[in-house]
Amino acid sequence: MAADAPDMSEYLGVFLDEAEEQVETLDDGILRLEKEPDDQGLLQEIFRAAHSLKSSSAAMGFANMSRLCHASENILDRFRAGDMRPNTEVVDVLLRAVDALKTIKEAIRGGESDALDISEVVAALEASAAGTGDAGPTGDSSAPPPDGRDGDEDEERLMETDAREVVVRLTDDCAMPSVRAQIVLKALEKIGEILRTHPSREEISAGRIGEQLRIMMAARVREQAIRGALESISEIARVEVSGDERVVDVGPKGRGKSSVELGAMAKGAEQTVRVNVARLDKLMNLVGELVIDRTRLAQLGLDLETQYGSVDSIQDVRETCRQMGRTVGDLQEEVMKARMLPIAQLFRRFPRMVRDLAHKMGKEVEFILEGEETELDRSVIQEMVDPLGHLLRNAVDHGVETPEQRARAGKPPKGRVILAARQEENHIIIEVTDDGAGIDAEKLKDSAVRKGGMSESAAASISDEEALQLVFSSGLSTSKSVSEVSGRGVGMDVVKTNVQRLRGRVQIQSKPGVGTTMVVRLPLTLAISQALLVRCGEETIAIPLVYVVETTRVARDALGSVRRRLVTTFRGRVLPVVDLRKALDGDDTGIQMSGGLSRIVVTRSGEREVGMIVDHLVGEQDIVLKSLGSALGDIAGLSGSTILGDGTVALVLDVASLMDRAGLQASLLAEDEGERSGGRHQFNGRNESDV
Amino acid sequence: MAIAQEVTSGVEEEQLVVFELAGESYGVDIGAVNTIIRMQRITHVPRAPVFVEGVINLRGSIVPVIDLRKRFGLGTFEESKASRIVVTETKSGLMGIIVDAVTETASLPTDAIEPPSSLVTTADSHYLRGVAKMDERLIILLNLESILTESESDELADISAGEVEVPAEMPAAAPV
Repeated sequence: MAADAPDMSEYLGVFLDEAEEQVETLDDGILRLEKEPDDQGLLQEIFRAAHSLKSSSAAMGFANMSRLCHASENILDRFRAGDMRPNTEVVDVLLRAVDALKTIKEAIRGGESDALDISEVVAALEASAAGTGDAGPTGDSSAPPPDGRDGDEDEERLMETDAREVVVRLTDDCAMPSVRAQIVLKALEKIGEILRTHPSREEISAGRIGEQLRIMMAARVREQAIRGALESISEIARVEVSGDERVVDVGPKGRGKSSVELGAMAKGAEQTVRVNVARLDKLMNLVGELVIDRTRLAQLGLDLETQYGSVDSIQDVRETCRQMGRTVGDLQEEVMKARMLPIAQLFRRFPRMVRDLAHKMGKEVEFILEGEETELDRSVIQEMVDPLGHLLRNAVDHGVETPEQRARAGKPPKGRVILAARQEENHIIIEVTDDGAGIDAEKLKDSAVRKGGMSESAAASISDEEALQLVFSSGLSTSKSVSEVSGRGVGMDVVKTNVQRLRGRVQIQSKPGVGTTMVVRLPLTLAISQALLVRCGEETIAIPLVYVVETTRVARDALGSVRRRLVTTFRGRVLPVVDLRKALDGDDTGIQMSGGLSRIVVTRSGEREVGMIVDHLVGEQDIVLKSLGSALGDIAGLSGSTILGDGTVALVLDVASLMDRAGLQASLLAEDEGERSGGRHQFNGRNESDV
Repeated sequence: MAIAQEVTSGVEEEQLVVFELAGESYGVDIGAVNTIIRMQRITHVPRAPVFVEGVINLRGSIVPVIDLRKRFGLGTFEESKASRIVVTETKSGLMGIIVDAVTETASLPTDAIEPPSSLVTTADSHYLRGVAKMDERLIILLNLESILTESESDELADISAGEVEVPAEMPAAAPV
């Protein structure tokens, strides 16, 4: 039928975005419902999501999606009516339906039809809906009264909040009035709660729309906000909103509301606009240009002053530059905030995974999310899906013990996994904590000696804390058996690589018998960062500050050689040293080892440290990373370039890949282990110096 | 064959930007030229292909700059007052070409363009779209897209992997 329908591609994006949210709400909500079967508000939320997805998918001609929603709705209806309880079996069936919805949604996004065989899932749903469920209402009489109460409830809400009537008239030539009306309702739902519509939602889905759409809604926003919410929707001829004053006075019940509740309501009604991601990215790029221009202007002001002295007009220029700098700084911050999403977006993917995994492993796990409201750049969120998945799988698979083991260890049978986020200055900290068996540092050392080629003396000399970090090196896993889930020893180095690509760090803390905490530290944004500018010959090179440990001077004759590698001693450690220019060029010729001092920037990536010889230091600066372009592609040792205050281009160093190139391995591990793992690194070819 | 088709199906006249390089005249389609700028400081990019001089900042964009002499094996470039960077638009983004001088813009009847012949030029015919005669001069039409062609992209990949292919005319710098 979709083929005969008018072109709906225009609405497809909106539909899919909304479907995404609704499916997530369903996934998340149903899981929570299993734990809190009596939460009526939650049930309402799930029901609403299923219902609107049913209507919108029907309007778009995706019959299978609509059928799934409808069948799920029947079950949810019985929950609402109180004659069925959300037990594990029913929840499993509902989750299967959600999975099918996800599959269909992705198929549609991929340009395919929704023709997935759903008969089995629908049959299971129908069987559940028809079944007795878990023997009707249980002892506690908190079950809601049967259907039909909804109307009264809505009436009460009318009394309690600011009711508004919104009348929307679509244009006469509106191509798909029913879809348009759905979009209008969705837009309004974002700023308030829709109590009643005329025609009803069912009639709208069925395509019966009269001349105008009347919507009664509860919203604690101004008229302008309602108009604003509808502004971007096309094919609307007219919008009427009942006056800015309250239409219905707050009833006695409403007066009783605590300020917290009112605050929450107001928050829910915040004005939002859906913005294309590409537009946000573009905006961020433009701000990046401004940051560069600001730096350039400041430089020019300084140059002018040097040339012509401190003339009034030059002082004015410099003052204006400073003023502009502040404004640009504020702008940068605001745009950055606009790109931020609550980390809940990321966290919501995991409860399901943890639940299923725990079931599969025969473990009992209580999964706790903390700090879901913490905000993070959207690009970072996307990149963190896999690493966090790995960490959580590890926590459930290796961390939490089976109930029997836990009982023997005197722990409660139910293990606990906490996924927490918080902001610390310019960083976001994400922690995955389990109260499981913990990691035995001695075992790790053994493993490193056996499989990693670490010498026994080296193993003996490192602290337990250092030894723990070995889990991030490739090929090490203390798990006795290789399970389907994890245990091949490949997960953790992937985690580390991904986190590092985001210019973040990951660390591990663990106590045998008590549990393990993985700490991931990420920068707030990727677009603008701080770097140390250094000069090497004619070129200026930017070293991101996250890699810089400190800068020092070393007498050239204090440089030595160990295993054909140039080293020096630094704070009691042996530090490999490279000439930055030569390391970048892949030049193998030796370094002048006598006379004078060398300026060295000590950098660290993971556990690897290397000193880089540079000509001199220029200073610290905000830089905007720019790609070298597809024509040049990836170049080992460089993550891109940036534009300096004088308009010239500086190269931005990628310390990790430079270390790979230079054949520098973690100082803890012997070289042969490093070479075996080396082949996997994207940039790492052969180590010329060793061939 | 592809060249013949392209030529016959084109419009009747082509607008070209004509520039000089090692004593020969070259032309690129004016529509593919973004801007022409004076020589400026070029940031050298380590491990880039030998014919890539480096990158420049063009109004906030990072643009790779190519030395066609090195690409075509025409010796080394010497900067003069007339030297320019012709910034062109290619599928892989903006690309700057260092030229000895930009001489003119010209209109050419399409049928004056002939397929390249290795006799008329020292440059590899692989990078050429055709040759045209104009006022008793030969103008070599460049195929911009092929200047960084697949084989060169492979070369770039090799460079990332640490294996630099040194062209025959370049002194072998790599240690054996």
